[in-house]
Amino acid sequence: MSILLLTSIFLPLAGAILLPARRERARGVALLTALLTLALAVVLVGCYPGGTAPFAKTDYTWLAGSGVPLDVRFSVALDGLSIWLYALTALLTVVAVLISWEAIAEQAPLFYRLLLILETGMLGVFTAQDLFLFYVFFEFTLIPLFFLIGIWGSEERRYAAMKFFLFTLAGSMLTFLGLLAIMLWDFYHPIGTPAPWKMTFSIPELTTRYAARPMDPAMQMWIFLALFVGFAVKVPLVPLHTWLPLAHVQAPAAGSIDLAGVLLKIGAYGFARFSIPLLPAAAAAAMPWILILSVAGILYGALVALAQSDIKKLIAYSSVSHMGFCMAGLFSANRLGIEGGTLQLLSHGLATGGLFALVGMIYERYHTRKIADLGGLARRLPVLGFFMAVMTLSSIGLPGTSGFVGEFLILIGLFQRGWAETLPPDALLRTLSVLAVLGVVLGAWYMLWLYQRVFFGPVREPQGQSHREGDSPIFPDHASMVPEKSGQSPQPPVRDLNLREILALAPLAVLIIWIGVYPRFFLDRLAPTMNQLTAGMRQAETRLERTKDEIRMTKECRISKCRMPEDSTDPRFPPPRPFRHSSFDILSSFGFRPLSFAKPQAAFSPLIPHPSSP
Amino acid sequence: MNFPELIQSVFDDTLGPGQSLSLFRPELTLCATMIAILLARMILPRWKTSGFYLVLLGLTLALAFVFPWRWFAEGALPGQEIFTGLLAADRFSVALRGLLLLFTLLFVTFTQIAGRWAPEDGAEFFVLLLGAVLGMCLMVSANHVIVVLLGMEMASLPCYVLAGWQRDRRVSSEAALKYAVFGAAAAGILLFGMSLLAGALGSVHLPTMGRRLAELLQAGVDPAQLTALILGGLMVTVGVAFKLAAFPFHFWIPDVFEGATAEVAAFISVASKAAALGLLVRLAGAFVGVPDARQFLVVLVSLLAAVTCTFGNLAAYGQNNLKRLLAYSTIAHAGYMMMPVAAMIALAGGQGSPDAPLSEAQKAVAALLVYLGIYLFMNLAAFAGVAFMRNVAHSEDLRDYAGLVHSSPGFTVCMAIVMFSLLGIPPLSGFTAKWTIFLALVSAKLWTLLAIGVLNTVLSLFYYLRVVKVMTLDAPPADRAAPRIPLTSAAGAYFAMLTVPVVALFFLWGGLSRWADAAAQALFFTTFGP
Repeated sequence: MSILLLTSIFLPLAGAILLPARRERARGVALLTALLTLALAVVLVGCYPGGTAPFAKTDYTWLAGSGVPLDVRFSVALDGLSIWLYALTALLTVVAVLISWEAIAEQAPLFYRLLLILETGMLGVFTAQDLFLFYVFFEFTLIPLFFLIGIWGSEERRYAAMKFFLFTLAGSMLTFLGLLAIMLWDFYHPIGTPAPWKMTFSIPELTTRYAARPMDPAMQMWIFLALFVGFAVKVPLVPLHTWLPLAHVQAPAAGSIDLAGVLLKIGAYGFARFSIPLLPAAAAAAMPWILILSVAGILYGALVALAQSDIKKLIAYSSVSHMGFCMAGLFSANRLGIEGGTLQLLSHGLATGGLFALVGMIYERYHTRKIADLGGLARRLPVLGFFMAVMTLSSIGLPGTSGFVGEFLILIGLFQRGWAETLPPDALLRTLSVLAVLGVVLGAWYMLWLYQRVFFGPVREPQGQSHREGDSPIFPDHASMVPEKSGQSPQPPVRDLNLREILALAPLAVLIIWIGVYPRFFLDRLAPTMNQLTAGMRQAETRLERTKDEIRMTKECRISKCRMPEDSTDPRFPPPRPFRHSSFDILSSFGFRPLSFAKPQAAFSPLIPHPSSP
Repeated sequence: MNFPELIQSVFDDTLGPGQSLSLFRPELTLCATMIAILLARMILPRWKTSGFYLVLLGLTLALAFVFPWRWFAEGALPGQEIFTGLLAADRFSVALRGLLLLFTLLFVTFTQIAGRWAPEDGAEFFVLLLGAVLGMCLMVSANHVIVVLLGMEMASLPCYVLAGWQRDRRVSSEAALKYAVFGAAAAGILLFGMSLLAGALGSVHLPTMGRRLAELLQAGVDPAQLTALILGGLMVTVGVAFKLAAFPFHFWIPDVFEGATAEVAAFISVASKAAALGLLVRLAGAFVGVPDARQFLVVLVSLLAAVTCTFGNLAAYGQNNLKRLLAYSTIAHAGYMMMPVAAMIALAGGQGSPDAPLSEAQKAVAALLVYLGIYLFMNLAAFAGVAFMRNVAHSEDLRDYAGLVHSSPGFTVCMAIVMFSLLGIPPLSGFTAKWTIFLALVSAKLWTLLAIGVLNTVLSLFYYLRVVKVMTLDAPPADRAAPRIPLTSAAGAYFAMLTVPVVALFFLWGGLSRWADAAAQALFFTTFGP
């Protein structure tokens, strides 16, 4: 198995190097490489046993200096968090190659080379089990994407490419410092008496060590913030999202697919892989803020999407909204929410990747992305309309599609956290949960509105443009057939999807329905790892609850002038425990006022079980 | 000791079992090569190849005499003083001389491919070049004030002439004049500072000076003497900072680089810097044993490094001439390379952990050597690209690089690799270089300097990326033929050959790291031995 994984990571790179120089052959070889990689990924997914043990692990010493205690390893493996993202990357690259088949005419071999190099980078990010290796792949993905956007993008491609690169690299520099600090703190705080004289970079090892011996909370908060900047730019969380619409809109279709489908996931993946398991107390303390940002992203992305006149821009903003859901799920500190958030990463990759592919196909046919220029396409292009419907419905979250499962689990998680698991009821959490539901409603609004305007109603095609530019390279025979002055809509031979395009979209649609109908298959494989990774944060979060509870008890006692029973067996009055990792300590050390203080309630509701009580 | 005994002891030291002369063979080979080139030109006036092959032969021989692969075997060359304490012969000097000679070998090939001087000038060019390298070799093994001065002057004087090599161009003469005037002033200040230090400490032998300083500070020092010491230290720093082009003394670099040919700029930016850094390590190494001096030096070098780095990166923003842009980038890299020196000074007091073969301070020096080894290829490649483009497009302006990817894709890919490596993102060796020095800063706990270093990477992002953007994304100008540098031409092949280590040293960094560790081992025992 491990040799399969290793091959699948470097096969695209080898393909990129050996790609022939002629366009027809280049795309053929690129497709073959991507398909082979996908086949390997499918085999690996099929053999994945579940559980928490790393699967298909390869581990070599890479940089172990003789005089320096470095122990950088070339270590790759799959686990429940990475397996679906890994498979998604392999799948979307095939889609990207198929989408670019005709669309990329200029310098096609270079294009496919970069696409395949990008695939190696993305596969590497998700499989790296070594801090150093992760960072290398993390940065490495920027270079091919910079060129993909900058060379083959639309009008403002140079600006978009520069902005994308500057934002991401500037953010990731702080992430670099954060990762460095994680490794060094471990090095300077050895476990056991004989100091192991080496700097370990292995992510699983660091995770177990940090679980055994947590960092002190204030330090955790600083490192969390450093990691946050780079990952939040990638996701993107709301104040740092400004590069995304520009980059998505300007990128070529294949670039948008990879960007939306995979690269945004790297941010969320970073949170789930590093911030949450390694810095649980900080993650728990930052939870209200991250939830606020996520829900702000959900609403802001949805509202801005409503106002767009460009299909691609609309979908780009919908990505901001959907990634907000993923982050809200991950940081809900509830098992259902976390599983939902992880599944939503996959679901969003499939649906949005498909949507961007479809926009690319529409653009290839009509040379426009303006909603106002198009109408009634369902009559003209029924097959395209069908696939658009599937993707749209998944994006909305209709039951039976993947979007429903992901968003529903996330919302359940948030509601459980807001109503059942938080004592006393927390107004902030409850408000956020309700607002997140509003995001689903808005999502249905803008996506259905888009579908209605573009695919239903009277047929409307960019006539004026194609008439004026009779020599448009896309449909040269169109102009010759159209009579000069025709009042009715002419019958342009805009062809519907051909077999290649159907083959590109069909797997996405199948998977969307599969996840929608039988999510167990996917959840079973990711759940054990996610539970393990987030156990620390959930525990810290529970501690936070108990702290609140204790505060309430104290206040109640003060109000009713009763004495706290010192050794009470009454579960309502647990004896005060000393707590060290309280989030309030962390926050006050930063000078923050805790956000989620709730008013003390008059009576304790025995209906809702205390999370810590058996 | 009477006179005959003195003569005898010098004789023994030079030719006897101490074998000073045998450890000095690389320098002697360089001298012999210089003489041979001049003689060959006199005897064979029609010999138009102008001594290129002689230089190659001489440099290869010198490199073989340095023997960088033999001395790093276990236990070989623990470090000793030769010529009665004038020079230090240890692995550090072997490593740096090896780097310098390797660089000169690559550089001479580069000038042969790209150079555009009249054939009859070739001999002088090579003689001056070898003279400068000889001076640099002395700088990195200096153990004595006289050798410090001698080495610096020997390295600088040929560079002044090389900067003004294009005699018919005004900017070139201006560059040479500026360089010479500033250089002379800096040398004067260095000399003054050295004489203050030597006067206050009563010695010109660097390790003895360090020991005397420790004694003096222990016994109590009167304010006048302290002023002289501090002033002397600052003046010496000014002299070295000038060679390094550290911040307040950097102003000559952009003008000199713009006026000189790209070849000479490459030489000054790599070889001259490497030698100056080696000298800085030697000078600082002599005084780090004294706690007060250490604190003083850490602040001084850290400050210089931080300001130099930041200034270089900020000033590079507005540059449209690629050579000028690279000049500022060189300044920034000098700042980065001073960071491990600061770490070394800070760590010199502590003891390494018992199971570690290297002390922490030696690890910092190893980081510097790794950086230098990678910087050598990166910066030489960058300037080589500029020189080859100048030969084809007759311009060094960034605008003329627009759309280069369409006409010379292979060349552009290599140039982009070099730019991304100078920026320092993985998977290129520039990242390795930064990574090692950041680790050194971490172990020295110089957090502020670390933060400044990382932030500077962000600052430098924009202008390196702009070069890549212009080459790949911008449309080629319509009014002239696109420059073509196929990778099959000599220039293209040479450029591609330089790019290979820029990539490969990221993946195979273990060898370089072990080499640097071995070189840094036993460094301080020569100057501060038991």
